Amino acid sequence: MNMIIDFVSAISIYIVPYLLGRTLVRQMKHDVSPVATFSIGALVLYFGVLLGSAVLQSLQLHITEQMLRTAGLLFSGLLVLLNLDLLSIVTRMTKATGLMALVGVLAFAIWSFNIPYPLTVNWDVFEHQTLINSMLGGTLSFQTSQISDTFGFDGYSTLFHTLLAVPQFLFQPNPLGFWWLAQLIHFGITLTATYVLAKTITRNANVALLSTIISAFVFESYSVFSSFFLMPQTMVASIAVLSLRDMLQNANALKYSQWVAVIAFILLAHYIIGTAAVLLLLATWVIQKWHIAHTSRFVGGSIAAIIAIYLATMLLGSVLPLQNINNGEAASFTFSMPKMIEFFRVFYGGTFFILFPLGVFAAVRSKLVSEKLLVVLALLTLVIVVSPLPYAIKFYVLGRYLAHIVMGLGAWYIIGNLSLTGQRVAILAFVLLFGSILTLNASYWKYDLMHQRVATEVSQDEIAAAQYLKDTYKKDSGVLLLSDPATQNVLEPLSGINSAGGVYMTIPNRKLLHTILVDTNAETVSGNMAQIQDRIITIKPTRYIIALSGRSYQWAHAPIENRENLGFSIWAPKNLTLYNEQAIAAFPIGTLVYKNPSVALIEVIL
Amino acid sequence: MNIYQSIPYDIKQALIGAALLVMAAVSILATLSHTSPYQSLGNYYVSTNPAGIGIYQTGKHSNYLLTAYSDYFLNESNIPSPIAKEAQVSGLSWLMPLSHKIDTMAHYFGRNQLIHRTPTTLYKATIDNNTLTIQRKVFIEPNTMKPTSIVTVFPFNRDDIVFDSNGILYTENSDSDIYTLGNVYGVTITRSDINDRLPTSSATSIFIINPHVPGALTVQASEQGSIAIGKDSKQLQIKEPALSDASGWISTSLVIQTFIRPKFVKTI
Repeated sequence: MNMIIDFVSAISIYIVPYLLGRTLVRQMKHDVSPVATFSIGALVLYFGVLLGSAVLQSLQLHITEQMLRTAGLLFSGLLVLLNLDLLSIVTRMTKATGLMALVGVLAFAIWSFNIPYPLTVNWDVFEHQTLINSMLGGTLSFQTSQISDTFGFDGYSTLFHTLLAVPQFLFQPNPLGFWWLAQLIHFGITLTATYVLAKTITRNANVALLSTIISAFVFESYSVFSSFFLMPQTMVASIAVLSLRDMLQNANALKYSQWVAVIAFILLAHYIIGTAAVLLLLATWVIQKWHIAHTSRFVGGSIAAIIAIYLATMLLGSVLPLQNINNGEAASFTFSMPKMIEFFRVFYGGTFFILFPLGVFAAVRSKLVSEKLLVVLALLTLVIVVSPLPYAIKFYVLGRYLAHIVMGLGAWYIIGNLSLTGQRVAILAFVLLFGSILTLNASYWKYDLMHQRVATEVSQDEIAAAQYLKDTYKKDSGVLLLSDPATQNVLEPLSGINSAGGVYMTIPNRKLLHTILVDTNAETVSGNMAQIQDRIITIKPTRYIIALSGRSYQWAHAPIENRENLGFSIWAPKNLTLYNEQAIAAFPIGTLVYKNPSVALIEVIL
Repeated sequence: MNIYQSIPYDIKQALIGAALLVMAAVSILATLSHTSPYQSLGNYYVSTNPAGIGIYQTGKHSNYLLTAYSDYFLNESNIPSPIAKEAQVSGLSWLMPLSHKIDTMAHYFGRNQLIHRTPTTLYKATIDNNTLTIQRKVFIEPNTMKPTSIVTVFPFNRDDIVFDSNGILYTENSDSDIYTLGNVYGVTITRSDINDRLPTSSATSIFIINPHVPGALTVQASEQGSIAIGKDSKQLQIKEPALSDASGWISTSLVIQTFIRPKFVKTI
């Protein structure tokens, strides 16, 4: 039953905005694409929630949470009733849908083989859920940094979080189960986006299927995390790709107002990736509008321009003061070409280096203008990704869709001349090959996350500790949870208890926390605890809960460069050691209120 | 007509098939993966390497290695002789053999056996939840003196706390460590005679706890076996009768269990 509630909540991330959009656009005399419909509905929902919250607060109406929930459920029910005609479209299963579903199930089964429901290996889930919890508690704002001190940098609006908060508010799922299923649905959407874009560009169902196979089994396990992880940038990328398909299919079929809605959605959901996506759409529109791709010099000229862009990025990369960008973190996210090749070997094995050039060759020789355009866009995004600019690899969240279609073309170039039986066998062989590569990639990536024979970033002990915190302290708004950044990151969203900055705890707070963990003098420890500041909730806490976990002590004994590095974390759960137990027993202040093999909770009232 | 078009259709199909096979092999070999397959065992990992079977925790200094190159036979006069005579050192090239990749995939999907071989030994590690069973087969050359015992060497770490199920402590840990052990896990242990540098435990279960590492290990010999603890060499020496079968193989078994908290057979 819980899993059903979690699933209904997860799918409502997309269904509720889509149905709302569809209800609103019915009045329009022209067709509106599904992605534009979704964007319109999402924006109306988002601004409706912000505005509604502001109105309720200013009028000081005494509306209870239950009343709001009832109204929300009734409204959702009404949306479903008004759109029942959709069922006839949804129930039509084509052969392509069936094959895609089969490939998707296999790939997801390989990926989640040792990640049982509802555990997660997506670290970002916790910070996003922390923000959602604050929104569910009534703190709403356009800026993420105004809601939770976990967010020091406003890289996006709260649009993404609102889309996830609404179903959580209505259906009250288990947060971890909700995310597990939301990521499954997101994965399905990335496959759909790849297939429909590939089919539109190549007009070849086999190439589209091959591209989808590649997309399903390739996991960019560093910095990109596109297919299996739901995050603002991965949602933006899938929406942008579906919009690109609309544009390539028939740019003139959609009105400007619909493009405004799509672009607004993309930009609000992630400012940087959204801008890149908008530039990609704009470039495509310009090329199509003035038929630039039809010219004989299009490919040659584009490649020359792309080389010039790469050289420019090399020049820019050499003069950027990386040590001053994002507290020096930028230097850690700037990669040389050999390092990028290493990443691509992890993601693809050798397939990228064989199929991508073949695909470029096939597309350049193709009669289809759309394939030539694909190659130019793919090379452009790839050049940005491999450039020596900080965080450039993150743009592969968009580039991967184009690259996989080029690889699909390359694969078809090899097997297209086989007999029909030969092609089917070859496609099956590609499934086995890419399935093997995903298995090796997953085994490599999950190595440091294995805990009690399961790959996870949160243990059952930590879930139990969070439940204790929630049951005991949720109603007390004066509680501050203190622990190492990783334990805060995990306990705060699952318990709903505020922490001092979550995983992005400030450097001054980290220094204070370190002395709390290692010092044995009661006065020093209490004095340092009182100095720890929450950036958003500035009222002095009435009580502190110190979570001492295996992670905490490992963090405390790490070198100072790691402790004060925002990019360093104890990603996997750790049980307590004998010395940890000794330290807990000797903790100079407070009362031990809870303990399990991984976490001890000490309550301190100063 | 170009060369490709002049190739007969069947040969073209075969060539494409061959190209796909080569591409698949190259693609798999080009992946980056761990040099050895691994399996999770409680808080620990178990993995094979060219020397033997390792039990360890990532990021911690705690490491235990079972290797045929340390184990030995004892004859009637208690003279030791090695059980693995040839050193097998294989350098790792940047392209891992395909079989390791296949092994890694099999282990990802739950294959719970790890194997280490030398020309005369086979060590098979099987994991079942928190229990690791190491089955060993050693080949005795014909026309050589038959051993009476076979000894497994299980080295432990300098700061490990090693005690048996009777509560006898064999390592020279500080009083505060012993106090904490009693305080936290509720067991009272007694130090063994300081002058006996190679005592033999009267129990067949030895507990190993490292205070810096979560969890505990137990090493269990068979009922016919005995465990001596080398205080200076920091080794468990698990001695068992060497009973060979008709084909010249000696088979032994060693059980290692991990616990979040130690499970004691008896509390004194």
